[in-house]
Amino acid sequence: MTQLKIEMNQILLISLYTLKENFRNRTYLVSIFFGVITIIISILIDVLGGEQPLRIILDFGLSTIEFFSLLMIVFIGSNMILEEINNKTIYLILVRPISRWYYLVGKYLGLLLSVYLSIILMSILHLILLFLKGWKFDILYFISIFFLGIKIAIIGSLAIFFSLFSTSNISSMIFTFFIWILGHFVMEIKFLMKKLSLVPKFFLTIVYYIIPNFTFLNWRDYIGSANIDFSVLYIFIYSVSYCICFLFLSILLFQHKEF
Amino acid sequence: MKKFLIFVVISTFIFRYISEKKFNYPYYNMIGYKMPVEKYVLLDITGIVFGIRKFVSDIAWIQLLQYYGSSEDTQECNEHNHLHCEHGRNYGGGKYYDLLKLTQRIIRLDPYFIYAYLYSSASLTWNLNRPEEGLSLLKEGISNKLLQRNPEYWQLHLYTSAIIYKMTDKYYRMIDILEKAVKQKNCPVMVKAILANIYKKTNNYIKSLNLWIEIYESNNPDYRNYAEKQINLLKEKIKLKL
Repeated sequence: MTQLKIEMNQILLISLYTLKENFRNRTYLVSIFFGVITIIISILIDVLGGEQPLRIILDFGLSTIEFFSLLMIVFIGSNMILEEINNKTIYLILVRPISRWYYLVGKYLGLLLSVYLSIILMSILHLILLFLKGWKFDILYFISIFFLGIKIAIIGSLAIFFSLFSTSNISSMIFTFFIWILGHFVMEIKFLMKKLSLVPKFFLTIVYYIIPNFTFLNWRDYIGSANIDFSVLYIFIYSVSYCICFLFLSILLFQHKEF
Repeated sequence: MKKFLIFVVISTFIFRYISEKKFNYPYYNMIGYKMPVEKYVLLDITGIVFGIRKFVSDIAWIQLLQYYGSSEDTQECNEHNHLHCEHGRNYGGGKYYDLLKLTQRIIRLDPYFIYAYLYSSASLTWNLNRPEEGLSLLKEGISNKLLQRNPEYWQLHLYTSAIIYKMTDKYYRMIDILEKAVKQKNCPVMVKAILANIYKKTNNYIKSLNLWIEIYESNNPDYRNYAEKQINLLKEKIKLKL
């Protein structure tokens, strides 16, 4: 029990260290700054929406929050470990009696924590603007933010995986963005699968099941649809196990990596 | 460790499969679903690919308002003998042939945008005098199975009956329906203006005045000045009548 406590404490310390590190990261700070500015600008854009100003502020704000949190997770997630390898600062941690997987999990959790803090900050600002404009409380707003957090967790695990896999931060960023796009395009892929012959269909089916299904998590687009009757629990378990899966693959890669 | 990884991979696939079975994707597939405005296809596809179709439909909505709110390029006005006539601009007169396509673009991106159906069908029917186009727009919404559970879905039927009454010249029945429509929370101010104008045409000045006062008090910048003019005009007409 004490051993477990020490191990958890080590992970927590690495997470907090990553969080502090991100607070000094320019990409992180600039993304928050532009996110906040863009959300404030939505007040000006709502005038263009005629009698639908609330809809404009709501959609614009939620899309902004998602876009900037995506930027943060992809840029920081792809660079985080590679930067430490290139600066050789990773040796300072790995020479200590800390397992490599604690280090990786701690880094991942610290990354998530910093992006989640920025999401909370931007959401609070967005909610203030919405309430000032007379918006009525809608639980779907919070559900869409919650699922955005899960989306970010999936992308974070993929960004770390690609950064260890590809050894170049640019290529890992491109791979992660590509997965982001494909993840939103799965319904179209599914539709295409029906029209293909057996062999290409087989390969496309494999691709279809490997890429994450972000349409499960895109609740921001489902506000007002009144058609949401799928089970949230299954989607949550799927998303968490997807994250664990790629985090595990990253740990495997990291453990076999030579510095 | 490897056993655990295998277990996680298998459970991911299982829960993906179950989620897929439970998941009711609330949009139609865009492949094979023709987008009506070709010049915006790239933007529309980008919105879908990046999972921001509601945001893109908002952009499409703003583009529609800008199109319908600006004067048409070479609109010749016989009545006032000059080009770029802005007569009737406040209540959306003109031809605006692309209005139907621009609205179809919005509702194909976001079929749940009920307000867009109501706004454009009313504009096409009463302002632009093309009720067939207004009706086709509403029919697209009514036939959309995804939309049927929306709490505002019934309003599409309400507007449809009003348009049918207009097409069959059942004027008073149409007024009854429009009276129901203007009582709704999300009723476009334009529909209120249409009904107020119909009241005025049928010499029902008091009802028209009340509606224009309501429009004026809604503080809609597009209608405020026009509503003020109408209120003054109607007050004079009522005085004369008395």
